[in-house]
Parts: sequence; C-alpha cells; structure tokens
Amino acid sequence: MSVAQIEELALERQQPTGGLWREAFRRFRRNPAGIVGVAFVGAFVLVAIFAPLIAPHSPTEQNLLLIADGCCPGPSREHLLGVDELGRDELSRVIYGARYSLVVGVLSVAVGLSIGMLLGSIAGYLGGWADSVVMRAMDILLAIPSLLLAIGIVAMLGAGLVPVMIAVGVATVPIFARLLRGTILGQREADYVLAARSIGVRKRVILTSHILPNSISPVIVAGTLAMATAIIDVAGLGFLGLGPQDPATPEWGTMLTTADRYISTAPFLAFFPGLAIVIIVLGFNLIGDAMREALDPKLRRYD
Amino acid sequence: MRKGTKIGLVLMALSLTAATAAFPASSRTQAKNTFIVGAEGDPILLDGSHVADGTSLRVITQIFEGLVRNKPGALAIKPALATRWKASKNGLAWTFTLRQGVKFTDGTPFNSAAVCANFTRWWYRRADLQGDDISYYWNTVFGGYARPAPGSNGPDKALYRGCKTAGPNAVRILLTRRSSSFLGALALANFAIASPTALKKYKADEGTVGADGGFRPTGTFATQNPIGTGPYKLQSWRIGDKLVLVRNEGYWGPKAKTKTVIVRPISDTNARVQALQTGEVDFANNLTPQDAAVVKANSSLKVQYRPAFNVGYVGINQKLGPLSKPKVRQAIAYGLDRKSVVGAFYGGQGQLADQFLPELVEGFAKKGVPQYTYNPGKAKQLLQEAGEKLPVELEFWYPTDRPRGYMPDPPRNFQAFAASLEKSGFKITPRPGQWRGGYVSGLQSGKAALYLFGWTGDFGDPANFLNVHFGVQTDLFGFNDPKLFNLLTRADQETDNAKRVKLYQQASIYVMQTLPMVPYVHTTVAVGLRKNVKGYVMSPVELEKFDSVVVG
Repeated sequence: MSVAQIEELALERQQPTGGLWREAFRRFRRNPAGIVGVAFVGAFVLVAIFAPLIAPHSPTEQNLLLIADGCCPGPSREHLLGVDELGRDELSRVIYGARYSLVVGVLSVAVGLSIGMLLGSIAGYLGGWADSVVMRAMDILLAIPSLLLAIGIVAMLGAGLVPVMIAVGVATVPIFARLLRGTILGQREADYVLAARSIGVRKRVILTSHILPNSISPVIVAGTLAMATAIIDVAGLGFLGLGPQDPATPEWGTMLTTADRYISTAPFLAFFPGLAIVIIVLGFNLIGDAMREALDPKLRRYD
Repeated sequence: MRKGTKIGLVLMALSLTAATAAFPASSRTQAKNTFIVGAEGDPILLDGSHVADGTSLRVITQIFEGLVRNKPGALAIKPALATRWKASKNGLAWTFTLRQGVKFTDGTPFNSAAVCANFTRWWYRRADLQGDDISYYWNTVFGGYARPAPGSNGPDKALYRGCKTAGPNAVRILLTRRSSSFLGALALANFAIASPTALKKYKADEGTVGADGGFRPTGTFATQNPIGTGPYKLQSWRIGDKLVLVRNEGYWGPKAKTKTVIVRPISDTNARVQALQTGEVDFANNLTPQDAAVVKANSSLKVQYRPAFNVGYVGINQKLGPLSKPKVRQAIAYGLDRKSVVGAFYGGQGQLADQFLPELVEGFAKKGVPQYTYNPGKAKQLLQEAGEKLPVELEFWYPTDRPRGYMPDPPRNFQAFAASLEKSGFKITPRPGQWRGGYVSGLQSGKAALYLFGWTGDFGDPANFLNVHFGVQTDLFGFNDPKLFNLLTRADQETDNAKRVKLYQQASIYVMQTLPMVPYVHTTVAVGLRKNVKGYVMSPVELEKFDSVVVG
C-alpha cells in the first residue's frame, strides 16, 4: 500500500457519511419498497401536472348519446376506461382527479403540519402550563375520530374543496403536535442544548436552529404517512357529499359516490377511481415506511 | 305525494335483518296455492284511515273495499261497494246506492249505517290524529274536521259536510262546495269501509301518537283484527317476518283465485331481487331501471310496469331574478335538452313529458300543447329579446339523495340540464341539498330559482295534479295568475265529466303556455315477477289487487 493510497483511505474515513440527510437518502435508495412508492407518487404527480396533455378527452364534456339502458358503456377503444353516467370519459376524469387529490392532500397536510409543529414546539420547549394547555387540547381533538372531526368541521364551514382541505388538515394537527413535542422533550435536555444555553444563545434560536432540525425527522415520516390518510379522508368526505359543490368536478371520492348507484351494471366506475386512490395511498405509505427506516438512527450503518 | 314515514324506515331496517334470518331457504311445498310477495317493508298499520304509505295501503286494499274502485290497470272509476252514484243538481249531495247482501268478514252486515259510521269516524277524528303523518289523504281530499285541532281546518273550510242514510241501501254524502275530484279519491284504500262493530270491539281509535308522528294504537284492530269486506282476510302478521292473508270464502264477488298470499318485508332492493331469483318470492316490488335489466335477462323471471302516473319537472320561481319574464321562461324551456335526458337516463321507462299531466289522467291534452324542442340558439335569442345580458346567471337547486321513480339519479339530471342551459345563454350555479335536510323546505319557502322536483299522483284525478300545484298562489312557484286559478276552480267544480275534461285540457295547455315549470318526464315503475305468475294487473296508483293472481 502506497502512501497515496493510505492518504486516500484516510480522506474517505474522514468524511464518513456526508451528514444525516445524504446518508438517509443513500439508504432510502437501496430500499426497493421506497423506490416503488416514489415511482407511484411520481407518476401521479406527473399525471396531475400534465393532465391536459395526457387526457384523451375533456373530463367534463358530456355525451348523453353514449348512454344506453340507464348506464354506462364499459371500456372501448375510444374510451379506454369506459364512460360515466353522463357519457364523460372515465380515463380523463381519473387523470384530472389526480390534481384534486394531490393538491388537496398536500395542502391539507401542510395546514396540519404547520399548525401541529407550532403547537408541538411551544408545548415541548416551553413546557409548564403552555405544555399542559396545548396537550390537553390535542387530547380532546384526538378523542374524536379524525374523519368524524373532519365531517364536523366541514359541516361548520360548508361543503367544498377548501373547507375539506382545512378540515382534514385540522384533523391531523394533534398527530404532529404530539410527535414533535415528544422528540423535543428528548432533545431539550441533550448536552448540545445545554452547551448552547450556557454560552447564552437565545431561546428562540436554540429551538429553531438546534432542537428543531434534530427533532424533525419523525415528523417528516409522519407527514408522508399522513398524506396517505389525508387523501383517503378527502375522498371519504367527497363520498359523503361534502366535497366539491359542482358535481361535475372529477374528484375521486365524489366519483365513487355516483358510481355507487350503478355498481350492479357498471362496476368499473367504482373500480378505477378506487384503484387510483389505492395506488397513490400505497405509494405514500411505502415512501413513509422507507423514510422511517432511512432516518432511524438505530438503523444507521457505517459501511 | 305518497309518503314513506319514519316508522316505515325503522320497520324496514328491522325487518330486513329479521327477514333474512327467518327465511334461510324457504321450502315451497305449498306452491300454486300461495302467492309470495316481496314487499319493500312491513305495513305500518292495517287501517287505511291512519296511514298514507303505499306499503300499508297495498295490503289494506286486499282486505278492505271502498264505495268505488279503480278499473284494474287504469284510473277509471268503477262500482265496488256502491253500485251506482249520482250528484244532485247543485253538486252538493252525492247519492250512492249500495250493494246488497254484502257481509264483513266478522259476519256483520254491510249497509248504509256502516258507511256513515265510517265517515263519521273520519270526520270526528281526535285532534292529535289530524296531522298529515296520520291523516294525509283525508286532509288532502276532504280538508277539515268537525272538531279541528289548532292548525287544522274546521267545518267552514272543509269539503265534507255530512253523511246521511237514505234507507238501508243508500247514503248521501254532503259537500260544502261542488267538487268532482273527491269521487276518484274514494277509490283509495284510505276511504275503505271497515266493520263498525270491529272498529269498536278492537278499539281502532285508541292509542297515542309516536315521536315520529305516526299512530300507535293500543287496540288490535289495525294489527290483528282488520275487518273489511275484501277478497282476502288477515290470518296472521309477525312484524319483520311475514304477513299471511287467506281467501275470504264469503266474498260477494268472484272469489280470489289463489288461496293464500304471504307478504314478506325485504327492504333492501338487491336482496329483494335475489329473493326473486332464488324463488323465495314470486313478486318483487319497485325495481330500479338497472335491476329491471337484470330481471329481464333471467329466463324464469319477467318485468311488468306500472303505468306512468307521475311527473318530473324543472321548477321555476317567478319571484326570483328575471324569471317573471315569459320570454326568459321560454328560453329555459328551449334550453333544456329534455329529450336526451329522458332517452339516456330512464332505461326505456321514461316518456318525454310535453305537459304536466301524465297521459293516463283525464284532462291530458292530445292537441294544441306548445312544444319546446331543445334549441340553444332560440333560447339565446329569446333572452336577448327579453332584454337580458348574456349569460343570465341562475341558481339551480337539486337533491343529492332520495332518488325516486321520476328522478332515479337527481345529480345526473342536474348536470345534464345545467350543461344544456349553459350552452343556451345561462350561467348555472349548482345548489345541492338534502331532501329532508333543507331541500324541500328551501323550495317551498321560495328560495330556489330553478329546481328539480316532481310529483306522484295520489289518486286518478287531474285536480290532484293541476289544482294541487297551480290552483292557488304558492311560494314554490311564486306566480299570481287569477286566470289560471279561476280556470282550475271551475274545472274542479264541474260535475259533467265531459265538460270537466275539456276544462282540464284547456288548463293543461295554458300551463304549458305560461310555463310555471318545465315538465320533462313521466316514468313507469318496474316490478319483477316469476314467469309462472299470471293475472297480476298493474295499478297506476300502486294498489294492485291480488285476487286475480294465479301462480301456475
């Protein structure tokens, strides 16, 4: 072994992993389930973004002449997934539906995440009475089943996509708040925090630049998993008739409601939006699980 | 409008579970002498004067008879317990000559005293039983009570004045004003004649009113001892399990062809169709167009249709927006693609409506009805002529639940109509609502500009369609047209039937000229039968008699 080789080896050992995130990403890449999840979600994101280019027909253009005997012609060359009860192309509707589900899923989790993180860090870092107040409030929210809570909120705000987003978001708040509080409690007494405090770093800075970055990973995992639940809840609310007010909106849950009426003669109307929901929810769940494994410090390997 | 009441729903829900448990795979050893009916639920009570739902009335009509009846399969009025009738010159007294030698199934004789005892029972109804949940048909037809409860009409507003016997075999029904529509109503099971002795003996009118507004008798008349003169009598009734009728061997007319009729409550439509397929029942009531297609495809089953006796329409409230302008309403009529909707959505069970009355009802106008064929260009032109700026913005209300015969999928009708109106110069704002959760009440308090609504007839008379909707000013339609109101009042008061029909034809045409709403469909109702069932004659008002049924 030459000196140069030894130096090289030493250099390599000096930067063992390149930081938590890069290393997590590396481990994520080696997890096949995670890759499948990314593929599913990525495909849906692409479909959602390029819906107008991909969809063969308009999702709202009716063609009553196609409807025979009540409902509805199945898959054909012209309409690959058949047409719905108003002669609209089912494939185009499922494609456009990706937009609603993704946007609503992402935004509602964003709502839940931001409120939840705020409350969680207040409770976790300040402790004391602030902790008690916030956490009891979260306990109350957790006592109500999340879908029921969402229905209640939508009932208060009136049906529609925006209220659904807010409702599903609010229903996820306690999950994030509790999770973050728990990890912050663990970090608060850590040596590096003590060190920061002893050299006089301000509380807010300690929280935002020291504790939070070290507590965030479980929240991100929960956020990904919550995305799956949020999409299901949004579809559930749509199914219950609390979704978009215009019934022509191609939202998957709303599409399932109408399909219910024709389930005996046109089961494909329920199958395809249902399948879309299953795939994207599965995608987010796989990503979430893979991320949990990637970010779990106990599973961290230096190879 | 025949009402399914809340108890009905509860009973149905209960009965479904019970029925499926009680009949694993029923053995049919007693076939041929038995006709098994798959009903959509249990009857509420077997006393026509205390219920208004079709499920109860269809059983009641086997046990009881009225003074008159509908010709089987039609609406024409035929003799039943009365053989002849005649109105006095002023139209205020109707004399009914009664059939002789008829006996109730408890052995007591049917005579004029029995008829008047029944009318007196209805007229002196207890105050707490006068609400629509219990007494809908009396309220609709005779409109008042001798001793009215707060909120009910008294003798001053009622149509009914009294019942007088004229010897043992004739009665005179006295009215406060001329009306011809009440005769058609007397064919309803609600006005069937019960044995006065049994009414007293089994305490028919004792009981309380439940929280849902229904009657809870403490006597057994309406549950175990309904005594009438009909071709069948009740043998036993276990709620949620089955109701058994047996032939009345002492019936005055041709005896029932099948000895036993079993009515089984199966509230779930899919379960009802399955029971028909497996042969557990010979008859399944009320199929959706989709189920009808399934039954039709089965070689041992057949589908029969009740004649269209309803109307689905797009309502217009003339109090709102520019809808008081006739040209705007015409534009709506031209802008609704009614033909495509009826052709595509009703699976062959819908007829395109060009007027409010179904063809079956007297007063249906065969000629002279203005036609509004879908024409977006013409609609836009009419809007411009009316001085409107395009697009004209309108709120369109529709129900999201409670599909019914004339509206099997309300959101679907709405979306198709909204799309065709938007092509015709309108801008539609969707306003979905729940039938009981504010939809109907919103319509009836005049909040909806355009809305999906409809009507199923109660009895075979044009008054029950036209006068009910357009006879007086209502918040539902929001118009005041004395010319139409007078025309309809005159038509109802006319006792000469030929003249009466002419007046109703005039009114039906006039309604289509002034367009208080745009009718689009009359639908038939499908029922499923096993192929070997013969002689089941469909009734437009859903009250088929089982006595002509033969199970081969």
